[in-house]
Amino acid sequence: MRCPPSDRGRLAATIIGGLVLVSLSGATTPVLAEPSISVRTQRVLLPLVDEEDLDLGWIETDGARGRFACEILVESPLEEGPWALYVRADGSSFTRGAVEKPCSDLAWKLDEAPASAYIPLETEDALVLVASKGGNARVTLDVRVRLDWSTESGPLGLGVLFRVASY
Amino acid sequence: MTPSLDLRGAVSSRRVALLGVLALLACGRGAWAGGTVSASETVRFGKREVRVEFELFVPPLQRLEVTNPLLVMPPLSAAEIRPGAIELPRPIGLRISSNSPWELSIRRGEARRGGEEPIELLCAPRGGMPRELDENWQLIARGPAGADLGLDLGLRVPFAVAGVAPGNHEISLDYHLTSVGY
Repeated sequence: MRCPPSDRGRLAATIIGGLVLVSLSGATTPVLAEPSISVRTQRVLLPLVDEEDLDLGWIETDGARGRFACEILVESPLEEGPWALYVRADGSSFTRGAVEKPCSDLAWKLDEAPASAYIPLETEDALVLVASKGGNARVTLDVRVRLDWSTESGPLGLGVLFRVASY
Repeated sequence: MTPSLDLRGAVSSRRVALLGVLALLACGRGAWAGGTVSASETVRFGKREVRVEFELFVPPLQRLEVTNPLLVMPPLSAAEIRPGAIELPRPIGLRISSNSPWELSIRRGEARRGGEEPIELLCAPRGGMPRELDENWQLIARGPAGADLGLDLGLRVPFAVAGVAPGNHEISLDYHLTSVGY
């Protein structure tokens, strides 16, 4: 049995109208907003290496003067749940430099944490911190790169990925 | 037979359908641009991941330490001078740190005291060929990168047939440590 054209039009209108109603009714259901992340600067240049750094075995941002290597801003609505910040290396070794230097030669810690808190960077996600509830946060990190007299002269670079997710 | 059309019904249906499509597009666009939480509130979905590049530069660095900067030769006897040359009883001890291959050059510094003619001086790394030192830089040794690499330099003072003028002779040395390839 075939419908006349006018009935088909009404049928289509009814279906589309229903879809609109379903869509609008769905819009009133709260959708959880994931936290978002941004950084102040996407390129961090560590201080120029000198003899003392090679003797010490590493170079880092100057914690004594309250400096930090990286500032991460996390935006999360207050009414949302907890979130977590993760970090990992964007490659198993430094991308620049004459010699193979593993990514674990770069270590990180929260800015206010003691030097013993440095954690070598890996290619797998490592938990930086967990926020127990929603809300914006500013996270500052220190970075230390292992060096010694066997570290050949030249540029070194490593990409670091920060990820935020609901926890 | 001419087909008949119910234009009034069709227009009405198309209008409703058009409104529906526009509404869907609006909802879809809202969800794509920022997500819809409620009719009155919109939350932007930002980045979940960011990349930061950490960079540093390691310059070519060298350090030279002279572990025994002052060598004193005890008074010489005729028997010691007779063979034509004497070796300093202790070598000059150097400690080299370099993060790149290095070269060490030496030259004689200014003689502060002594006779008019400076005494000759031969210098050699342990087991190496002695070289006469003068006011020009002489390449004495080279080596690989590393820390606290020890280098002993033996010094020999040859005496000419006419001998050496009596008195105190003081010889200073200048050292020049460079990285190779920079």
